[in-house]
Amino acid sequence: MKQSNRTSIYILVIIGAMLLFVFYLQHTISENTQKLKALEVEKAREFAGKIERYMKAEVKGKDLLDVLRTDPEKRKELNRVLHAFLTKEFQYIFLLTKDRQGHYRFVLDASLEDPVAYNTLFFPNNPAFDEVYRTGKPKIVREKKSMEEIWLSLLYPIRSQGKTQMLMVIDLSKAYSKNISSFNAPLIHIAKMMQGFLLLSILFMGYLMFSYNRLQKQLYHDPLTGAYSKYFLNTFFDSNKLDKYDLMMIDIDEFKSVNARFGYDAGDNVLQSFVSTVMEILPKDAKLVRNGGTEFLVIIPKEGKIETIAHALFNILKRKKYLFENEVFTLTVSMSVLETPNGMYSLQKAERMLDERMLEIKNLGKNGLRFIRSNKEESGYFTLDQVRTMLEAEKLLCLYQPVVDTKTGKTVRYEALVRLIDPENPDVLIAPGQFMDIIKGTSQYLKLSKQVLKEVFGTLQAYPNLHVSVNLDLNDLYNDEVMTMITTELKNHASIAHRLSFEILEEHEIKDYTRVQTIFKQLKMYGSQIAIDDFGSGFANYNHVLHLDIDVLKVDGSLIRELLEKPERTEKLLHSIKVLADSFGYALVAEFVSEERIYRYIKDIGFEYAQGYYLGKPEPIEYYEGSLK
Amino acid sequence: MKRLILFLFLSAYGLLYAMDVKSTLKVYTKLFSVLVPKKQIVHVYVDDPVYRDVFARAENIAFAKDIGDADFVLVTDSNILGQYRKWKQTHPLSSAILFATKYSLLEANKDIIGALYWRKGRPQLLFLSPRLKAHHIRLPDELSNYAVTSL
Repeated sequence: MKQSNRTSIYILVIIGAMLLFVFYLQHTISENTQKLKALEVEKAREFAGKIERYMKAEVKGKDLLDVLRTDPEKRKELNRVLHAFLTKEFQYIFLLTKDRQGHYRFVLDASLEDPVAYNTLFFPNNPAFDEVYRTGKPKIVREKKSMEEIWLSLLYPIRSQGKTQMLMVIDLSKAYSKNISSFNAPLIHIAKMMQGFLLLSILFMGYLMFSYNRLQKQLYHDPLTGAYSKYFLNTFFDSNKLDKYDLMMIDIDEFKSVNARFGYDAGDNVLQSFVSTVMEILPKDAKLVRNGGTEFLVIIPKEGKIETIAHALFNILKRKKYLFENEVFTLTVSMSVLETPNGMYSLQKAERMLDERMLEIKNLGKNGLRFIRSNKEESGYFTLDQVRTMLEAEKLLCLYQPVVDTKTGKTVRYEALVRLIDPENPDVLIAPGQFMDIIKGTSQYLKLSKQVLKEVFGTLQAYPNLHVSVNLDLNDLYNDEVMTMITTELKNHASIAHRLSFEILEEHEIKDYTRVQTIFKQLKMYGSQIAIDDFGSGFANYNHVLHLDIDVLKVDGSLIRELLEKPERTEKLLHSIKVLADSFGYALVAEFVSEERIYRYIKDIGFEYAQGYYLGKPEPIEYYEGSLK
Repeated sequence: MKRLILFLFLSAYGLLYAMDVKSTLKVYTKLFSVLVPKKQIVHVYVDDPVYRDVFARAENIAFAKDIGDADFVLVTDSNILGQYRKWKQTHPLSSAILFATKYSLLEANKDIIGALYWRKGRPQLLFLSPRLKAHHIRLPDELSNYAVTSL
């Protein structure tokens, strides 16, 4: 949700910036238009000066107004001169003087089509005329709106002996102003269209954000209780680190009895009341998620208060009274609490831990509260940081468990089994179950695989008659770095290739058998063998037999163990696997052979190889093969 | 469609020279109140269809059928002036007030007391003081600036 909002804000900022740019463009265009217009006004002023100089030159030192008053021919001549200055820019050019009463009268008029006669009265209806007449300073006047044809008037005084004799009026036409504006009109038009488009875009974006938020709000909340939904939970940890929060799973005990006794409406009311109480107790920054049914998950920021909150919640909830149809009843809850260890990133894993602890509570009769502490003794898991530190210090070794030929009883190979060395106590070896889940999917997993391979290659070189099988995840083989490391080693030390088997751990479904088969071919090319580990469980299924060229099937230990519980049925199943393996030419290995009885069973069935504590525990290779001299 | 209506409107009132109907009516209503102050309803003789349309919107203006019935004659062209001259010959003591819409008409007949017309894109209101006097009309202060003694 945060990501989406951020994206929307970025888009809005970009649109806003574009809008500002358009406003700037519009302002610049408008400013340029004004500059153009100012140039035209300046041109009119220059014309007025030229006309004055020309007319004065024409009267050869005489008083211009006197000449114009007395000489009709001169007036005609100068009218024609004025007319020459009339252009489409200049609507009117005329000269006025004031009579004794102070009224303006025409002296000259440039118009040829509709000339105003000399001495005709004129009412300018604008005080600027008197002002220019009085001050003798030219002025540009913006005419009233009612004067449709005139945009600006230049009032230019013609003076003699320090007094204004006449006023030259040059009217600039509105049409010309429009003409100037029209130069930039297409640009302005485009800018306005862009403005409109961008404003519409902002509105549309706003609408989309509103709709998106509304939709997301609906998706994020459980409609019945108002608690967050499972969908929220999944997205919340996309943008938040799991180990910054503690988790609490709450399940209402025996809720089915409420539905059965009072009906589903009552059940819904109870759930709403339950959620309302939980929300009151939880800190404001906690999130309550309805996982489904009567199971809730609480996410609380790590502040060291989880234990206090959990106890308070547990005690209040089990004492809480629910009222329905005049009947008051209470409900107990089962709660598992996880103090999330640092470096834990898998929500799935955390939920599994909470589920397991919840199951324990339920098995013990419900109505209980159990904690999973963040220390490794309690949780049984190491953090990613701890594993990283151990791998960086190469605190790792391989133990070797013998694989025995059932016909001869002799060890034919060893399976290399990795252990980490506890940095606090080097005598303690850490089994994969305590760290493997945490590092899966991280770069540490590949680092571990590479270190195991290095160790195994070293052992094979040190013991020239030894055959070792090593476990690899398919993801290891998909990794170019790991594959290059293996193939380089096999190429450079051909003598070890045929003494090495790769046991493929298949924890994910194979979607591309062709790719896997290509990898297997590459490994077998050097003489190494391929075994499928844990055959008969999970994804290690019959499809592998069908699609892949392998050498050994290692039957899953859980099936072998069943020989003790259900010997007849298990024997039949193992027989069928033997028939299958024989028909494809695969050797069979039985794992988890923990006692003689099992060994006899699998020997009788015809398993070629066996492995388990009965035949030998995982030990350092020196234990079985002796120390190197 | 709106543009077409606007175009037709401007074409029809082109004679008013860019002054809209409302402003024109306002000016003339003011003129009537000054020139014919005693009449509640002013009878105007006007031939021009555009001006008739303008005056038709006023409540206190009625159209006179002929010059003899009019308090106010709006002289828009020389035909009206011709009609007036003919009527004047038979009614030399007529007191109808004549007002022109062109400067040339004001020059052409000494009975016209004033004119409202356009010159160089500007509205021009003009009264002739001696002619106002003949009709015993006294202009209010706000219009006195527009009165001249001679053309």
